[in-house]
Amino acid sequence: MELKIEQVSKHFKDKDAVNNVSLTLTAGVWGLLGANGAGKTTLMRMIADIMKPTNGMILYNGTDIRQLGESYRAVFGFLPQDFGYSRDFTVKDYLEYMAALKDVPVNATRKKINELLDILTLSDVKNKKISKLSGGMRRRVGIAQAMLNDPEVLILDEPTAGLDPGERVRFRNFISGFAHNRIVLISTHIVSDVEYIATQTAIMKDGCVVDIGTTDQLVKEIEGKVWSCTVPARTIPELEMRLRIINQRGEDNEQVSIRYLSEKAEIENSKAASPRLEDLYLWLFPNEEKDKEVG
Amino acid sequence: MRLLKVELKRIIKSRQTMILMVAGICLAALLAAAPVLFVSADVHGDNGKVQELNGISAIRYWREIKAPSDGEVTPDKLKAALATYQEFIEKYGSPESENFPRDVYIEKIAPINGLLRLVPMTYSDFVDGNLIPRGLTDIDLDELDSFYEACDTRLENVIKVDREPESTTQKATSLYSKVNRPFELYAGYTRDAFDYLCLSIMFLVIIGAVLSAPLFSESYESGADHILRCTKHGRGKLARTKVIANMLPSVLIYIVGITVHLLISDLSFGTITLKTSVQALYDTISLPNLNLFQLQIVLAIGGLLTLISVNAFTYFLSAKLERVAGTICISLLAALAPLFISAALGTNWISSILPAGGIGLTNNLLMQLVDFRFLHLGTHSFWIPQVTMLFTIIWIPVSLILAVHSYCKHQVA
Repeated sequence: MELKIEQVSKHFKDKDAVNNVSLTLTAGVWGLLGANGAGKTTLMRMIADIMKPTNGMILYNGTDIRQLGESYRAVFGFLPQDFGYSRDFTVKDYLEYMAALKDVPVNATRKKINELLDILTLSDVKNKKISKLSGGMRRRVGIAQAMLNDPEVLILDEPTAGLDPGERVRFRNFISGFAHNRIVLISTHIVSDVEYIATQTAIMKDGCVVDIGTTDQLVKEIEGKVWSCTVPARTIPELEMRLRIINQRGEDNEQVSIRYLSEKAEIENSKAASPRLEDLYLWLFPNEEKDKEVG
Repeated sequence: MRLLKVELKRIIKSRQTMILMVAGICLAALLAAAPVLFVSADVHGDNGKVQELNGISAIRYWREIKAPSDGEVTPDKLKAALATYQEFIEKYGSPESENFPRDVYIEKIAPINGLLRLVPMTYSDFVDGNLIPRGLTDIDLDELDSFYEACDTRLENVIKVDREPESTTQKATSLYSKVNRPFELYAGYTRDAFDYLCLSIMFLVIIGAVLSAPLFSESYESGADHILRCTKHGRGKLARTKVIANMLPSVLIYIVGITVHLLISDLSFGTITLKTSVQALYDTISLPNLNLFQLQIVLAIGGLLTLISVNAFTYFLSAKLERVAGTICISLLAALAPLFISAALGTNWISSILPAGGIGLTNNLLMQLVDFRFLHLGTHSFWIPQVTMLFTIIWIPVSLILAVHSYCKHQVA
């Protein structure tokens, strides 16, 4: 099982959203990390065959997905960044509608829907209109529809947006189990969503894949660049001006424990810290520090 | 079939469909009731007091008064009617004057009014290239022996006045030669009732357009399209299913609305009056060989085709446009374009080639049928209502193919 992205580019009038990306996705969970505007959503739309690449092609098991058409879509599941639905749908009606579109066998539909509603803790709201649900619940309905047909290729664009920490953990565990013998690509800028479950993670920046590998391989690249130390609280404003502080925690005696990124130790008594995927992300996307979301 | 079922369920359960369905049927009922309520009669009671009758009771009153003239419009009947009219005119003056005794009017003139109305429109003098209608007192009784020949002569004169080409003469004469004679006249039905039927059709077509507009553009706008189109059946099959599923409620609303309209109208005016020839209600040289019942059927079918044509065109717009509001505005504009065009340029053939060519106010299918208008192409002439219906039918497959194709080719922005 292989989804091959071959030199794919997408150029809009004023922007190169995706630039000559090549990537071979095999079975397992794949993380796609990148800042907003990095090109993740555009790449996912092309993989979903709802956007035509300007150049290149996407092959599923060696055949162009555009050529495969219906047979590719039959094994495909997609949750876009913005989950749209018809306003009058209840959860159950919506999933039945999607099951018909995905050609889930009639006799298996009810069982499959109930199973997903249980897993995603939506059973209590199945007769409610989707528009009346909370953001997190709506997101889970979106995840449910993507998985209705037990897809071989599952593409999830920001699946955990709006989920609370408990829901996120449940989602990660569920996806981990689901990904056996399937390709699951999760685009996110919440690093913890993919850090522990992704077999491989690709990092996109300015439309290009700048790095790719397992979490361990990726974090190796930042070894020796993550530091921690304890400093007086009053020095923090000055340190923030010259260092990339990625975490701070208040201690006793007006001391603050900080974690920062730098090529070398910049503060006395700094110790090299063991790097995490989030550190690499922040190293690559310095502007994201302000908006970072710790999972 | 399963997809059609879930799509139908989605459409029918939506609040918008429910509201439009109820609105359409209520509107059709109201528009049917309006011309019934317009009919009134002042009746002198036994105590000498004048009592005003309205609606169905007024219709019944007039039907009773005018019943003696019901049946075939024969020259003998026309002669007798004109003789009566001329006799009482000589005695009391114009029926519109105050000197004319009301009881005499009710007893002698009202029953023959329907017959008398046909005479001056048929007998007009052709003077200096113009047709000058003659007054009822200027017409000799013997002239009415050849009433139907006079109808033919009038048709020829109208063609002359309009300076129509030879092809039109042939076409018009051929159509008119098929009209059944003698005409039939059963007093009661009014032209207002037919105008309101056309209004009902127009509103139901507009409701259909509003119902159709969100078909594709709603899912583009909400982002639902991103999910739908990457499912197994999310392209051509979904587009075709959506079109069928959306068309069904529109057609159902139309059929129920028009049925309600016609039931109210026909039961109020009396079903026997439907045997009246179109020529007896409109113009003695009207070209369709139809009675009023057949005219209603033709208008209802023409309206249904227009509805399907406008819906199909709206689906195409919906497949092209990303915003529901924009689709509604443009589809309404398309539905009302013939009305605007005829208001701006006068009655012309341009509106006939549009998807909504059969609806409007002065340009609707009814007006086209009873009017005398032709489209000339080279040496050929085509009767405008036939052109309208031909183009209405052509638009249906063209728009549907374009709609499905546009949906399938749609790219996420």
